[in-house]
Amino acid sequence: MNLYNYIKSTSLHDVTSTTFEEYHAATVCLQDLNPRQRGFFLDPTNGLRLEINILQAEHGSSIRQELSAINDLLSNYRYGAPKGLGKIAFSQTTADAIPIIFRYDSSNIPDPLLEHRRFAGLISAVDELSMENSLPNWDGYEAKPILRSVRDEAVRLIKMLPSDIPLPEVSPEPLGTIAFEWYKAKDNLFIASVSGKGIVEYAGLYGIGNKDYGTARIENTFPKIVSYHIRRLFED
Amino acid sequence: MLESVNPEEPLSRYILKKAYYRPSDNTVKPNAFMPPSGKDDVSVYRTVSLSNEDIWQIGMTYVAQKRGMPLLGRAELIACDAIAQGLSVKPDPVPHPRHANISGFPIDNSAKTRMIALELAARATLHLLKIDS
Repeated sequence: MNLYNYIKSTSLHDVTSTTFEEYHAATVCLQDLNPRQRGFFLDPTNGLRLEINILQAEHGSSIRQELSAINDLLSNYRYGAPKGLGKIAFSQTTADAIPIIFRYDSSNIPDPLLEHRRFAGLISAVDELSMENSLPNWDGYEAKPILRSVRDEAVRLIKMLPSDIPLPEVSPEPLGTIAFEWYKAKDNLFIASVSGKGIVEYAGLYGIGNKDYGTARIENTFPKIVSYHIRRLFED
Repeated sequence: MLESVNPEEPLSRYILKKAYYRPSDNTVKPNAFMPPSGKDDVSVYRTVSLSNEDIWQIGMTYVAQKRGMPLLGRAELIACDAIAQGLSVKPDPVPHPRHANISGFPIDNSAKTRMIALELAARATLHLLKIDS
């Protein structure tokens, strides 16, 4: 039996309700230990994502020794031992492998692979509209072309999107800008637009007579004022 | 040439790009009402008392063919929707006596321009050529 598949199919049921709040710290530790196999799975019972790391014994050492090494490392970790990590879940499936299971809420912790998949369609749409509208007057009304710098900034912003925010539609604008649109109805929508200058311009309509607009600088994370307005749009 | 624009007059902004409307619910996107960089107005046609066929004919002859692009649809507004946003509707009878411009977009404030465009699009009605004709 393939060990990895076996663990994948059975160990989800072994997970306790313990939440490992300092997931990042734990992951760093495990990366230091160079786990042989790891995987991410969605727990269908509660929608939480699980990371499963499978440690296999190095030549000349036992699984027990490796587990001991992990615990030593975690106890000395500079952020302190991650809460609950003393309860590393493991099931002895073979003599030389231990699955270590971390459970966390996927809304807080982006995973590069899943993020890539999530954003692929949107980035592709940005690429398509950038190519299609790369010449002046693309709309017949003297629109400016969508430049490469605008496309790049749009992609950068996409990759910053918080995971709890739904994906927007993208559109070219006559100013040579790319607009991200979150839409509920024609009088209930929010637009954030990039121009390649490190600024997001936004405008939102939350029913007739209720509106807001402004600008925000793009730093290393998605602009907070923009995410605030998007969440506001989708509030009940 | 028509007289000055009555606030109750219907205006049509002809659409040549799919990116300017939402096929999912047949609504107009705000970008349809955004002026290009450096301009403070958008081009429209005054359609009062015209038949549907005449309205499309103006769009095909004076907008689409002139630009070598297909006519896809039109966004219809009432002049007072623009006036309510602090804009004005000025007759500009070239290339056609019914041509006009919605003027007064804040040329140095694209965020505010976009906000106005959202308001106009929210009030506009989309007519697609293949459905309408």
